[in-house]
Amino acid sequence: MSSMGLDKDSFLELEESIAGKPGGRWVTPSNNIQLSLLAITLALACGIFGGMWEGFLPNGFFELAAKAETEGAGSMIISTSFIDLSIPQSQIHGAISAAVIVFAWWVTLTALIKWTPGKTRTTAMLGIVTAWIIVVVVRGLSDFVLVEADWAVVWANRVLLVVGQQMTEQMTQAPGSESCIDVSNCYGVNQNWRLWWILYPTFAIFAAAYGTVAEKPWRFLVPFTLVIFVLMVVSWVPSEINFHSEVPITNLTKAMLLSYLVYGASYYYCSISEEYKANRLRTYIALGAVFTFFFAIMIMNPPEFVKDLAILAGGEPAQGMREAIIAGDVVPSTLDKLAGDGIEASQWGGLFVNLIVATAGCVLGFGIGVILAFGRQSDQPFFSVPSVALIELVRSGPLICWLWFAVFLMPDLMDPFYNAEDIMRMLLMFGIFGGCYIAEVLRGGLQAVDSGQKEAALALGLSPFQTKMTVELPNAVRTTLPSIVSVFIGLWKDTTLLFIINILDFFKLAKDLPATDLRFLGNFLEPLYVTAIVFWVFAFYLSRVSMGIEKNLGLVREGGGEAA
Amino acid sequence: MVFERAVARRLVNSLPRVNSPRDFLTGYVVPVLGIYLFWLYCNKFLEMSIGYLSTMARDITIAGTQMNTSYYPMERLALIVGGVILICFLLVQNEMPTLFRGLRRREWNIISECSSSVFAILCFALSYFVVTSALELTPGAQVPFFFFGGAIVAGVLLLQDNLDEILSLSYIRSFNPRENLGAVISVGSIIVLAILTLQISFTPISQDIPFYLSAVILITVLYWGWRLSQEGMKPAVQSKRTAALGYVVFLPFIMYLLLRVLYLQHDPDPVMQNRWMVKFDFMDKVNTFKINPWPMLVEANSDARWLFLKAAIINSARVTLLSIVLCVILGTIVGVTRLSSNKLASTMATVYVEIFRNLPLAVLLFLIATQYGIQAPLFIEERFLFGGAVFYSNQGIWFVTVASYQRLVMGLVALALLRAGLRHMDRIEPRFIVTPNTPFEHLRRPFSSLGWRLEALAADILLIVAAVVFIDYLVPFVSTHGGGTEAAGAMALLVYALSVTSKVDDDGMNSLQIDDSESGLRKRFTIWVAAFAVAAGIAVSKGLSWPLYLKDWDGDGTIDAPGSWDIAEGTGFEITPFFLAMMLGLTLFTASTVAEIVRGSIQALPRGQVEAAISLALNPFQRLRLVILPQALRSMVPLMNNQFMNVWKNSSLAVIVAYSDIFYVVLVMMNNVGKLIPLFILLLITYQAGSLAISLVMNWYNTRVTSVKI
Repeated sequence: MSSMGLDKDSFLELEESIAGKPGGRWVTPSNNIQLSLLAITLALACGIFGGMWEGFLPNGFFELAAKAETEGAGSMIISTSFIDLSIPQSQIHGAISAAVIVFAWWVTLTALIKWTPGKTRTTAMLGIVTAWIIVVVVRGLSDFVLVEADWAVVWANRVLLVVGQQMTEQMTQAPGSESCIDVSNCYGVNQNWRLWWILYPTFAIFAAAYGTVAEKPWRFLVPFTLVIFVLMVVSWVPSEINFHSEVPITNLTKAMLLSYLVYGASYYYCSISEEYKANRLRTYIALGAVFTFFFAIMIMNPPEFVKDLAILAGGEPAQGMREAIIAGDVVPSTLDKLAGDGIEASQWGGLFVNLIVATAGCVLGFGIGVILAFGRQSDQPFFSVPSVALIELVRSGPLICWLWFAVFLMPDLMDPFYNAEDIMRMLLMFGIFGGCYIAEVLRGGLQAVDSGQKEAALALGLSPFQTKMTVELPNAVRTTLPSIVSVFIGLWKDTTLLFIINILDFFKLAKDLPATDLRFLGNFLEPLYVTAIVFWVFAFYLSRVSMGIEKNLGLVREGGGEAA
Repeated sequence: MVFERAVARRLVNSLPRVNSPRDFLTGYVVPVLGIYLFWLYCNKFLEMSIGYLSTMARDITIAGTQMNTSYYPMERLALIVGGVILICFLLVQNEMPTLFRGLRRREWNIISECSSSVFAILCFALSYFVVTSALELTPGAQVPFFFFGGAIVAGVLLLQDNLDEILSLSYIRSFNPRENLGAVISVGSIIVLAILTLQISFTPISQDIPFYLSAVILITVLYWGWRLSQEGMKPAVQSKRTAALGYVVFLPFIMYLLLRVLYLQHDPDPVMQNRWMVKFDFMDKVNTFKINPWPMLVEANSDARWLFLKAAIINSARVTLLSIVLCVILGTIVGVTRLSSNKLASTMATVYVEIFRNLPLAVLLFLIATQYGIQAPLFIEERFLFGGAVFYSNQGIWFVTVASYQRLVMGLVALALLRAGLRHMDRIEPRFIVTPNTPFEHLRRPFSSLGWRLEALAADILLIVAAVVFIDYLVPFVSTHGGGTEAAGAMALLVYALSVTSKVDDDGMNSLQIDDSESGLRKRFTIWVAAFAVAAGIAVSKGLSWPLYLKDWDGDGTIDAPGSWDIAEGTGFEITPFFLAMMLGLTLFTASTVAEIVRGSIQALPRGQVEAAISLALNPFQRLRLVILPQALRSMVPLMNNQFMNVWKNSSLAVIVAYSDIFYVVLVMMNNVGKLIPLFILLLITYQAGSLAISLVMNWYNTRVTSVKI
């Protein structure tokens, strides 16, 4: 009975927080719960059978499902070797809509029956208004997602959206590629092994970084495994597939096992070592991340000396053996592949480009930002005047202005000594832009460093450079880390601007899918929503990381305040 | 033998110690690699810079016409390049502020204190005279050697840091070469430069100038890098020499940038020259593409580019201003809802903030534009709302509006007058009456002679009059091609009126006693409702303008083809789908950040403040006005300033929805005429001016809000 009482009380509390406190004189503690039950029953009735009073109540479950059926809702078909389900999407849409309508009716009826506007007017009004807004939004969304939209356009092109045109062709049509299905149509030499070579160290660094955070292991391992599982499912589902699915599955499994190993090692090391050793490991992991970024760029399009080294070590450039590879006589070894041509930066595409450009913005930006921040606060005008000038100049224009500058005007300045491709100049520009914003953030952090720290460092005989690197910078970064992460989030979101300069990133490819993929002419909205969701997921994850960092570093301020 | 072994041992001991592989790396590998890379960098950049300089100094005049398009007269070259070197020297030497201060106070002995800077200026003047009038230097070898050698000599002088000493008379008298190697090097470098410049064709240097100059730079950098790492100097001298070393290290890059930009302006390739030449006369010519601005109309092929730019700026400004107003309203509502006790409402507000904060603005804008284009009804479907008051289609939304905007302004003026009157009635005698003393203060308080009762009323009425005048002159400025000077005058008047009202406020003449009780609030509420009704009546006194859907254009009784149906010009108020998408996107995106700012500011209030306010029996309105808002606004305003500047800069994404804003118009102009640098400079200046304007207003408001010390 007490457990029932507990449930009853918490339910009544929930009801009060949503619909307001009961204000009618007929409500007593004894019939409170009975009135709630009455409200729930009436709400269920209105929600499921609502169509009976046409024009007075919104449609209920059966009407909605029937309407969706007539509009031609498809069915979600999940067919594997042992389950064969076919759930009509119209029923799901009807169920979701009816659920929110029941909820809204419950809130309204509770407010009316118990007359909560009498006692807590604002709470009751807010509750009712919000509930009906939720109804409109959820109905519209579920209608669009389940009934109107045809998601096949995105599903069929998922590889294209992630890696871009050139690498999709090589994945699906390259000989020597274990994923090339139709041997007679294969051409080119497969270069996608480079992507996997980038993926392994990235996952390893990621897992190692999480290993240094002293949380329960399952809090990282479970979400991480889920994410890899989702990736595997996306690459394995047989509908609309044009590559051998064993390749991504095996490589993802290898990456997952490697990450587990690295996570375990890092977690164990941090649990048995002192704090300073754990901090040293964190510094090494950060350096490892920077190294992985440069490694990624180098491995995609190796410079000449790497190719020469590979030839010296015994490899033979893979494109020299093209016909043999296509004919299936020769399988190029790793050294052969290293000695061969890479994928030029202009051929990169899809989500990969967004990730590389955002990482460049963050890595290069942090380096440039530190230099500019220290330059700005230097007492030598030769360092401070150009720093201030550069920061104010770059911050005066919007990013799209500077990206345009990087495409059209920077080559005139840079070509004599570095004939770079578009994407490389984009990386540089993102780095400079991010650097100026980080310099502004760090400026506040550097000013807040206790002057006693600097004086103590001076007394200990540290040189100015050593003071800056070991005393001021760590203090400043620690205080301003949430703002720095929010600059990183802004840089990630700003990579969508690359489409204006005709770089084929995820957004541009998704935007042009209805026009380029002739099977799906006219499906404009679905790729856009998927783009929005993909970008949102990464940005949301980064903002959660920032909040976690804030909490870990003890920077959260508790305050009160309740507005009228 | 012993001596040699001692020297060898000293040398070996001074090399970096190797205790671990990491030491080997940092002690040997990194320096060697660094030196090699630095040598490559010096060589490459000096080679390129010297090449450009030679080309630009070559005067190939045949039959009176200049054959070398990259030619610069020596006066300009010497001025620009020498000027940059001089500026760098003066920056490193860091004596200019003291010099100016001393000169202003007419302390002539400051010249002997800042003798190195004065010496540098004199050297520059002397070499300018020598190079332009006295000597004729060969462009192939002498010109580059002189300029670059001069820059390196300047660096050496800065590093030696003994120019002040050398130039003082007492030093010259007691000079001893063997004891003071530094002075020998300083003076010797100048002399060597002069001699080598004149005799360069007889030395092997003229064959490969970059090599020799890079060698000199490398030796200087190595020696002084080693000296500075010993840290045997005073900290002030150490940091100055570090700056000087930075100057020598970056010299090739600085020179390269400068000479490359100069070369591009006179590039043999006419496309490049067109791009980089900073001349704005093309802006006076007619523009060849159409845009859709409002309210100022510009015609393609007949109006100058400056007018198109003005129309684009007006477009950007109006979407920015409207988005700022709407996002503040929406953001405050969402932020406050996030703090409410209704769990459902606060969860929904959190969901809104989390969704829109993490969406990229470009994707959001494109999504809104596409969604609206797909979902809105076609023009010929004649969809009206509220009985003809709103007509919406995929080509725009037309609202019913007032027929006469003057009556609308009169209604607003009536409301403002009511507010001034109510404040006048609420006013009580201030505790201290501050009287102006200086003429400047009299200017800022022109009505002080009227006494405390009437002065603030007069200031309020002045503000209303100034606002009306400003609107009166702003409308022709944004609707027609001219009117700039009158609008500027009206703006000056408005700024003056604002400064008068804030001065009255600051001097404490504005002490109000507001009746906060329930009955007082109810009375005030009724007065304002009545006033709004009267103002609405005035505004619509000349009638409303309903959107008139015309199907029959020639009035002959037959309905024309569906393609020509349209809303009649001048009826209703049009909002184009581009403006709608832009405004919705900017508002939704920025409101999420504003909501977070508002929530953070209110939550940062100490809990005790609100509890004390409640225990003092203040009603919610008083709590808000007297306790919460003053403290929350202090932290909100600087953050809002940032967000408003972001809205202004984010309006450049209008190119995604084909809205004619500044970036879009300038982009198409760039594609048309190819004059990239002038247009880019215009773009940067426009955005910076907008940011500055927003900053000014917000900083003024910030000083108003933080005038009370907490």
